[in-house]
Amino acid sequence: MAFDINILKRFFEGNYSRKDYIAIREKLFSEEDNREFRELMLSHWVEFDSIRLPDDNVDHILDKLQHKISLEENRAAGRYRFIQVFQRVAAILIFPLLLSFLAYLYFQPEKSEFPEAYAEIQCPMGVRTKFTLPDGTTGFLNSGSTLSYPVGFGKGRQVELTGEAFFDVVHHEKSPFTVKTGKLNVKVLGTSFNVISYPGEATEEIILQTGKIEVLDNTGKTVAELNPDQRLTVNHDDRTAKRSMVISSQYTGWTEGKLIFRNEDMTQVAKRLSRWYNAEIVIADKRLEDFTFYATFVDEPLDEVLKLLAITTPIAYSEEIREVSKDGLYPKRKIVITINPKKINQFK
Amino acid sequence: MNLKDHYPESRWVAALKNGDTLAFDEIFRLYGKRLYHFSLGYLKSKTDAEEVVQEVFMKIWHNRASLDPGLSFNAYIFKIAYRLIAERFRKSDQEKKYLHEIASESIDFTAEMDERANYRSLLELVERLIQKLPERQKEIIVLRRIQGLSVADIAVRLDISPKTVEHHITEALKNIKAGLDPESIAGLLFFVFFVKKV
Repeated sequence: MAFDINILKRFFEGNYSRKDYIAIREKLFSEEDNREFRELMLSHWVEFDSIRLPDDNVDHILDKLQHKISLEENRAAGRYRFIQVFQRVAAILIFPLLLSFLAYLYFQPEKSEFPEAYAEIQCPMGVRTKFTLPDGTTGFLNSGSTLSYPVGFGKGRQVELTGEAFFDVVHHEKSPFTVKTGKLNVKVLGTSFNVISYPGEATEEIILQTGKIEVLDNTGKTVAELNPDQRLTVNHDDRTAKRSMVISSQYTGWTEGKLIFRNEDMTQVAKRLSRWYNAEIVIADKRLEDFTFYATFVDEPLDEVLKLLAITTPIAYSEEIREVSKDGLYPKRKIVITINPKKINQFK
Repeated sequence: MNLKDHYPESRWVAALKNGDTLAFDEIFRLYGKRLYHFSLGYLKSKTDAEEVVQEVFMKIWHNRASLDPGLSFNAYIFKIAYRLIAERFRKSDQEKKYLHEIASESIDFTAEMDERANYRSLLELVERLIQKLPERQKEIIVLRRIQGLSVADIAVRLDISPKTVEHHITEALKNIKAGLDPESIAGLLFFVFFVKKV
């Protein structure tokens, strides 16, 4: 029986029933018996040519492609012509790639004859970086964070972190992996977990996704052991450690470009947005501190996030005009958040 | 007509075949946005659509030597894209399996519901209902249905009895079902009515 093109159109437009979904799924799951469906999709593709597309811009995808290609080409030819690339690609795209490329150079086997050499990965503000360590452990470094480690891991697997990182540690029975922060040591064999330890903040947080970890203070005393989906919050001001159950994926979403808030108060939201977007976000009204916020953003620009916040919560925001400083630089964006008096009553 | 002029992009394809990166940019400008929106329509995820575009164009670049400017480039792109779209569709279907399951357990899919309710909105509603569950129920339903742990494992992990775990699951499903009463669902029905002629 011929596949009904209307099902395809409805699915594509997003106005589909369960029956439509199941029909599409059946075709996209099957390797045979879908020639006719493929041809329908092909004619859809051909006809798509004449449809007016939204005015959005896909240049950033081209930037990524150009960058990938130039990396591949340079690597193949052994030349390092970064300058051209620098001129064309925005910082947000180039830094993670450049860093991983430099890391790649670092880990060439012949370099490991210098076991005491340290490598450092710095992640600029507003950017996240994917990293791979000499033992195969992978992870992500969040905005404004630094990770340093001995090249080659000659004397055990020990890394130092300031800021936030997610680790997916390769299991080695005989060699525990330790993450050292300002005041804590996280000791593991092979697991995945997230560590938040920004300088100047009273608390450090560790969230375990899989496996088991042990958290020690800097004298080597055990603070706590964690099981999956547990979070440890250590407050160095009042010297307390609190363990709680969480859904760990909410804390690791940032590695996929997701900004996830789950019942977080506005102070926390402002802090995380500031870090994520490298902007200064100020809460001008104390009453706002009582509100909590629940949302997930995927790769949205700051303006979009603020707009959504203003729609769904009783806040208003304004941006201060930036003036060029004496040395010709623009300061960070500064956003001031206030209460929207018209909407406040709806939220009480 | 010269064969080369048959497809407007063939000049660029010929240049790309020789490794010309400007031709690559030009071909991206011709097809990139279209491919993005085409993939987005089928995958309903910006990240997935963007990755399909990236993968398709990386493949084009890697296989540039074997390009044939005399053939339809449009059909060539589709061939690569179709496989990647189908692949991502299957992956996302698997990831959302729990939503499909909970929806079919909690909603009485009569023929009418099956054909006239907006399934996409229905799944979104189920997802919202899961998020709105009391903390403990949500935690347990996530462990059971999304992470796929057994009742026994959840009991050990949370240090409660398997019976309690099962009780929470039953309550959670009951709560989800309550949020899917005919009144809430009515809003998700398409506003297309096939009125019988009297």
